[in-house]
Amino acid sequence: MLENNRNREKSIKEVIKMKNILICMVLVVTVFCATSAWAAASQTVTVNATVPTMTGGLSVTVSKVTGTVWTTASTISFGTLTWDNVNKIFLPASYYAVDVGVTDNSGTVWTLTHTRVSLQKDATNNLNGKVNVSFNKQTSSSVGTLLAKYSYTNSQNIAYTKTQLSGGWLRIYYGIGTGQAGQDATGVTPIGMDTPAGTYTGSVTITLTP
Amino acid sequence: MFAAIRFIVIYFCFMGSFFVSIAQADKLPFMNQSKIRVVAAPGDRVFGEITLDNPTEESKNMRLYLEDWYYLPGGAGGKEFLPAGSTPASACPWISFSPAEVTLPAFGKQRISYSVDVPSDATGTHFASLFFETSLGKDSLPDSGRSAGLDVNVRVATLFYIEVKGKAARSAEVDNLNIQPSKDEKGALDITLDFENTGNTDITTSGSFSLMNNDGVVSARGAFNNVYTFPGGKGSLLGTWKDRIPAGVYDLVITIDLGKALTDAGMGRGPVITKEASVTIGENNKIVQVGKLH
Repeated sequence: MLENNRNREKSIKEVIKMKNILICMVLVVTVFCATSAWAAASQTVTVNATVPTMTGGLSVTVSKVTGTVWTTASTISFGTLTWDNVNKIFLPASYYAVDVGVTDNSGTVWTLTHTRVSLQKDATNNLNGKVNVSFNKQTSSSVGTLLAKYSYTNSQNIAYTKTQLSGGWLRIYYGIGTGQAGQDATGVTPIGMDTPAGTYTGSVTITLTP
Repeated sequence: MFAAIRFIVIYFCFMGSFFVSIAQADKLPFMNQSKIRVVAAPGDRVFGEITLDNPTEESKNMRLYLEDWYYLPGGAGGKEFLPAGSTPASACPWISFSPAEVTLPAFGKQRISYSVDVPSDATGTHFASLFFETSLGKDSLPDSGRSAGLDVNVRVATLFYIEVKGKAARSAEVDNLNIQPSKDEKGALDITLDFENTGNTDITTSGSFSLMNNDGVVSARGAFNNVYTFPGGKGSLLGTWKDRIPAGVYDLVITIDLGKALTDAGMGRGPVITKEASVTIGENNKIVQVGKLH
């Protein structure tokens, strides 16, 4: 009996203790909310942000395209060309796409320029008239508009401005001539047996200027 | 439940592919100045800095070098770059910079210091371009059969305009006013003028036109395209008016600001050319008569 009374008193005390803790918590929350509300109503917080000038932000991605498969590359390597016995020409397994994006918040009217160094084996043998270079304005990775198509020979100093590429980015395709009607740029012919065997190397430069 | 899981999986796959494609792009460092215009007296030496900022988690190797440049004919702003010291207006021999090669660490910055020494007998404005170039990779081709490959280099330029204080003259001729129906838009009028830079410095124009009636009320107003020229360079100014203008006699006022490049560089203003001509317009924007420009 005495034990029961002691237990009851103990539980009543605990309940009271819990009640007090709860009251304290409610008070703290109330005071906090009231303070916040008061602060929100009367305090002015100055927010500053400085956006730095970023210019010359050039982003370039080289992709090797084999069939419908795109893989990232760092060079335009057609590799060893294989003989197409049907069309009697040499062809590579892949063509290449180079995506060029510009990041600039300076208001500069920038220009992208494509220049090239001869794709050659030696001083007399080159593939400059055997490669298509096609310039496109992409508005998504799969939607683009053809701007112009040149032979590698004529792809020197081809320039596009910020205005021309507005709302998109520049994609340049590089492919060996196929000889198919309407596919190759003016002046491009496929690589036949008349082209001497050997390693043909060159380079392209993408330049961003204000 | 399955639909929700499928949505989440597709969402993360999509976002994953987005970030992968972004990550694969080779990004060049940003620079804080793409054009540097210096006005310095003959014999003066001027110092400055360009800051490169690598926004990527990969270090970047870059080669720095100077070249000449000039505006291509036509005044549209196209440029051609030539080896250093190959043009009479080259500023390359006047410019020193350091370092010539940089390796920018991931998310790192690099300052490029430059100095410009203006010769004591210099006149006009001289030009140079400082290139920051990197190679995306070197091709190694098999040495058999017929193989072909191209290396890809990317470069960005900072253009220098070194104007010799007190020795640069900004002047131009504007002539051959022509007003005719627009080739690109039906019913619109094209106002064209020939522009020639007759000074010894570069000029970037910004121009406007106003067509005022006898009461001094403006009936048409518009802007001309910008023309970019070096000394002796020529270009065409073109302004277009798309709306109908009531028939009558008008006074055409043309204003060409020769100092846009100075204003853009925050270095004050340049001279302004103002020309006028009488224009008679008939019904349906038909040009009846265009008077002499004066």
